[in-house]
Amino acid sequence: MIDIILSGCGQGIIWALLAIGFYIAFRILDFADMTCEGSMTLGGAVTAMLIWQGVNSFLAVVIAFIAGLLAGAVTGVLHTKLKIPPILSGILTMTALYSVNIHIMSIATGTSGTANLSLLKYIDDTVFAIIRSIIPLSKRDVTLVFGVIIVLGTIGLLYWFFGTEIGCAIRATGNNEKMCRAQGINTDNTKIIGLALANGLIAVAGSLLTQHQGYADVKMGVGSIVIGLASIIIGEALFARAKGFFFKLIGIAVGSVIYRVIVALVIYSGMPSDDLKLMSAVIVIAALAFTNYKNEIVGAFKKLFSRFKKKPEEKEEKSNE
Amino acid sequence: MKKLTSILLVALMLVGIVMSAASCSAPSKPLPVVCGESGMNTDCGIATYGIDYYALGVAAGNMAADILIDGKAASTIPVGGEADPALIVNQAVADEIGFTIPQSVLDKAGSKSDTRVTRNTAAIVSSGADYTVGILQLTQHDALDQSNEGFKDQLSVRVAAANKTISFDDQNASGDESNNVTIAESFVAKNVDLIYTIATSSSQAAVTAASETDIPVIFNAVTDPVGAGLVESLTAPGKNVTGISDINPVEKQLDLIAELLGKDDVKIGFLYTAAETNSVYQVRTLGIPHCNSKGYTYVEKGISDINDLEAAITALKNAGVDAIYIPTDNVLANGCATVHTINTGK
Repeated sequence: MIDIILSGCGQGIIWALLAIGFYIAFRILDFADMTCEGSMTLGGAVTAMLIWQGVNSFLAVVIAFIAGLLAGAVTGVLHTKLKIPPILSGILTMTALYSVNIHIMSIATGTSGTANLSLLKYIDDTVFAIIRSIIPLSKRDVTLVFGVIIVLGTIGLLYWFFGTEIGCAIRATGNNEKMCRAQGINTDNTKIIGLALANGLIAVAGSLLTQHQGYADVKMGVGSIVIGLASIIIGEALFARAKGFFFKLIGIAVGSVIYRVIVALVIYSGMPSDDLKLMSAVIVIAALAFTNYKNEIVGAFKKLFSRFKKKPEEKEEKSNE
Repeated sequence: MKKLTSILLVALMLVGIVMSAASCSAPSKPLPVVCGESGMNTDCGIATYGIDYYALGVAAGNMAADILIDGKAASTIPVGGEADPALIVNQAVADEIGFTIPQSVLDKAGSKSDTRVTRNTAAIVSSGADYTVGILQLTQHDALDQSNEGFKDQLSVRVAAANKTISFDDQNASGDESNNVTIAESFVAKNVDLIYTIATSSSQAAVTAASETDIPVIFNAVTDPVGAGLVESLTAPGKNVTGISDINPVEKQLDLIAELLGKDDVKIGFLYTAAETNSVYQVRTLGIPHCNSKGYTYVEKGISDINDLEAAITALKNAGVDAIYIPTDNVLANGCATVHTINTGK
């Protein structure tokens, strides 16, 4: 049982990067960014291709980040310069990335149309294996420890970045674009930078996932938006009281871990596997309902607790009399 | 200047409309279609050498029994495959498109003996079994379901014969790659005795998850196990992994086209999904070299999804191919009925 929870945590912490990236686009920029499904696969494809070419896997993660930045920038340019609506520009980039990802993976194998690139032969070259050669940890633990360090580092860097002038400008753009422009901020640029950053992080998530699961597949990004959204919503429901950007990001990361652990437990419990997608939807709906009816639910619990508390109070009153 | 551009644009659009109308009105005689797999043949093909996914599942079940009951090592069992594919003729489609199947082909289409195995339900228990097997299937799909059923049927029979019991933890990733990893890791956490995987990416996820355990992995429905990094070679897998390749006899199927048409200089149109590694492998690695060696000419049309079918089939017809060859392909497996509708123009 503890094994499956920890393995869910390990996967969840990698997905947290995707959730945080999606959060930057979705909440900070108020931009439902569909690029996500493509840029995650892009990160995986770039990483797998580079590892095949003998590139150091840490460097591969960095290059995957840069590739993600470019993908996000394309969505940004489509939206700001060509005036294409947000969802559509994301979908267009995602669609284009499908072909791009196949081409990238084809570089490694030399045959066009490679849709699945295996890292099983290069499994000792992944970041996780390299860290394990230095620190003796089990495969699962190294994912957890390295994941937590990367996620906390990313959150720290983001906290710093969104405190700088350009970072504040990006946040302001999401809050009130017209007001921003009135202040002399070029909102086109802030949107492009924000989307680039978001997709860069998503590509890093794809890169680490590829190295964790041992292959890149052109379909690996399918459904990632739902997972990102679910993580954000669970995180926000749990950390609703959290004030400040830092704790909000921590909340998203925790939300991502919780989502993956729930899915892992659902699978572990032996529920009919055809119901898996239904279950994922139910988890998100439950989290959404919880955020919307939080006060009522908390109120109901308080009532329940006060009933238990009342009895001893009454006794005390009697004894006082 | 603006006026000129708009006039040019309108002219271009008119040319486009006229051209597309011309291509639509061109006499489109239905083409004979040969598919890579028997299920697809039922919907749109006239004849093929069929892969029986149920039989592949049975073969995988035997491998699992050899490992679990007889204690064989997976690393020493060569990768299996369809040994003797049966020739299947689809007379209904042939009649509909007005194609006469030569008598020589009809004669060869014998009835292959039935591969069905009766499941021994008594040997399958839900808990406290001698062996537990985790099954990881990528998605809900007829061929994959067949290889799942065949595996369970045959393994239950072998286990019952050895007076043991077995329990199956049957999981389906529902097409979601992230679930592959979660399911594979849950099997490792449960410390199952063997993992059976169906389809390429599920197999890769299971091999990664089980890499540091002694849990053997048996895969099925993987077209190119070496290219997917699952085994080192087909004869000597090397790691604690072996399984069944579902590669269809592409060469035999292409020769069947020549035999059906009764000539050697056939022009074959390859129709496949460009993003499916397995399809590309069948067309580029197996199909085209065979065409070159046999002197067949060919045209390739890779599609990205089912919506491209109409354009692709029209393009193949315009290219003047004699027949269409569709490899075993997941997108086209679901779109075979559409292929038939477009092909017959109904």
